[in-house]
Amino acid sequence: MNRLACVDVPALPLQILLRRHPGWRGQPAAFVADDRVQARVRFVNREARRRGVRRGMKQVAAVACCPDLRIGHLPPSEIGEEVGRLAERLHRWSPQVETARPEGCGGAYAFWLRASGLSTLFGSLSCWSVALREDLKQRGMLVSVTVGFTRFGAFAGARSIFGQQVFPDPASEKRSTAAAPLRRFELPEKVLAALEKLGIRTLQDLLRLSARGLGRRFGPEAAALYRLASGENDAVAFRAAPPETPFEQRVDFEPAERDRERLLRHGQELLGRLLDQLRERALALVELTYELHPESGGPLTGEVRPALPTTDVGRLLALLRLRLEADLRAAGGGPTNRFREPRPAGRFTVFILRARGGRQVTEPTDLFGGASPRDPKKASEALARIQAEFGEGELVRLEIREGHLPRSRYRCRPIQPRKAVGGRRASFIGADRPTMVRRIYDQPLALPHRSGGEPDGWLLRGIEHGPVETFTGPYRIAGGWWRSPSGRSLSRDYFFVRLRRGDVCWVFFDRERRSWFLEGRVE
Amino acid sequence: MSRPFEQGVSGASALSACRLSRFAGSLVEISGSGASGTLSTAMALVAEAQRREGEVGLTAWVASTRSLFFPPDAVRTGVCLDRLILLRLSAPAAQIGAATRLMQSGAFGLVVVDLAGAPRSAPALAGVSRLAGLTRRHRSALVVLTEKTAAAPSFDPRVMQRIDASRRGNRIVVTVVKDKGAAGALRRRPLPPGSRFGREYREPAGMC
Repeated sequence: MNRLACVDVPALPLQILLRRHPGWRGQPAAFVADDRVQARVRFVNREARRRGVRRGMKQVAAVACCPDLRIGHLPPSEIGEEVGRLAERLHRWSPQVETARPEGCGGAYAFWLRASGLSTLFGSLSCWSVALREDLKQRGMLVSVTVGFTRFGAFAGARSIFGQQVFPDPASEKRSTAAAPLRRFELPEKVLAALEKLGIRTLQDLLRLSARGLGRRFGPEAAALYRLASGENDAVAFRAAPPETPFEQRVDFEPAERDRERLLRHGQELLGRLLDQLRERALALVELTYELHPESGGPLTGEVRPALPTTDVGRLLALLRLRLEADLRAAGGGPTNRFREPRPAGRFTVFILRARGGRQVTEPTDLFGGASPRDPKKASEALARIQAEFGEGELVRLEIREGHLPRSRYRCRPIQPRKAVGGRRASFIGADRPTMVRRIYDQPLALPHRSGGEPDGWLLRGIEHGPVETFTGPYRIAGGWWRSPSGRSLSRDYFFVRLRRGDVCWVFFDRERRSWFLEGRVE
Repeated sequence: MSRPFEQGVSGASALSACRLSRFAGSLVEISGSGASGTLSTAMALVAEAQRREGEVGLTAWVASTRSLFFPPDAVRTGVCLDRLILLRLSAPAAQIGAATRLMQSGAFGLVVVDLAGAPRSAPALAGVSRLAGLTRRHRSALVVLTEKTAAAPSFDPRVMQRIDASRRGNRIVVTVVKDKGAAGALRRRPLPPGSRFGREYREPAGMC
């Protein structure tokens, strides 16, 4: 079974400050978000806590509470550098190290290490984790290490104790996770107080609540912690490092360039340079944007996003090629002959590539023994290629909404490939007896006029489908009548109509427009 | 407990006639016209694939931009919309292209391409032979929905299984039009053409 370890660095920024100021040890100390007097306290040490300083307090209030409080702050770049140094150090202890900040756990800084197979090198995983902890302690960093089976289980274990532990089996990890006190997860004090009033003190207590409305009642942090603790998307729920500033490379053409292949070769060269720039900063490419300036008219722009931040030139070039070819084809007006050769899209004078970098995240699935036959990572890559080839907006997620009109009962929301693959799992219902499914048209189709009286031989979809035989309805939907007299109200009568050929159509009569429309049909 | 599929004229197991395990490694066409039940049949397959996601793999639906299944009905069938990868493309050739990309990844156990309502000349069939090979290689099911009568030819000769889904009241009757069976690791005995199976469905809210 795959083992992984979580190295939790409690109050990392404060630990950096204490290492810089050895005189602060044993004194009350706090880390604040910035140097304003109104800035909030983010982390406090035990001494400060004993003197009444709490997380979330304003700096001015904390000083009033504890006049000899040592206060400091650090720019995010310095914290990021320390995280990088720690990750580098941890690479000496495991071949794979992930850096992520669990959502809903305040300012937790944690690392996940692949621990499988290490017991043969170190005697046991317990010896390995003790040695790892000692190594970091010598470098001035106090950490908790827990070896477990799941990301969140190991993280919760590391949060629950201060030291090291090894879970012998998944059941013990589960038990420990359930008993983990909520106070350890750095939820806002107000949220903790509200939960404690309800007797909710551990993760197990929190999971007894319904997920519905949790965010609204207790805030996004509690909802995020709930999602993590419930085991949804253990691999993807951890937030990756934020992307960095864009890098740019450009080439000017003199004379103007029109050949598609040569443009792509220039693109390859620019991409190589961009990746070199990113590698120098130990970053990976998150998003690639291009701009092609024609001799006349506005620039041709587009973007590609790999499924995960990467520096793989082959993969990026394939995405860029797909996107560029599709855009050049569209700009040129489509294929000209049966060999699908695109028309020239004009002559271009400038080609710019911009890359947004981000921290390279070790792909979560790699921790579990490499690619499986049904590898979700490959699904994300395939979706990224489809987006590059056919454009953004094609990949959507459906969301059910409250609404009266059929079209307002759902929403198609464009999403990123990675999110598409990592959707939340829901409980399945109605499996023993499925429901007939209606097809709904994106635009209701106007139907021929219907003469009065029933049965009236209304040929709704032409003679081959036969006349309407039965009507079921109406189901009236009226809305917008509360608007001003000039505002447009809506009043529709919905029917299911059965045609002689057997089709069941879903139609409505728009009472405002006095017209019939086909909304969909039952298939 | 009622059986989801009732046996018709065929002697084969009714339960396995329209189940995902039967479609693994195949290019399948589900067609229908008039009182058709193609969308409902395909959606029941999606629900089954999602229930067995750990074993089957991911599920994707490649729809056109003209029409879509009504999402609340899909939810009532047992489909989890958060886990359904949905692509909406305007041209049938693009739909086939996207399905090819999905199949190439090998991560998908079921891909449904909804070509109902597409022009008769479409899709560009050049990519279909590749798709058929990919379904075999990855043991995935590619289900193409078309709108035609049972007598009309399949949308491509490489279709391994074709079924006609028609609605009779609140039952959907599935008739095997073509089944080539499978050899090798995916060995499967073909069902004779004309085999018929019925399944009860709930009607959409308001229709009775």
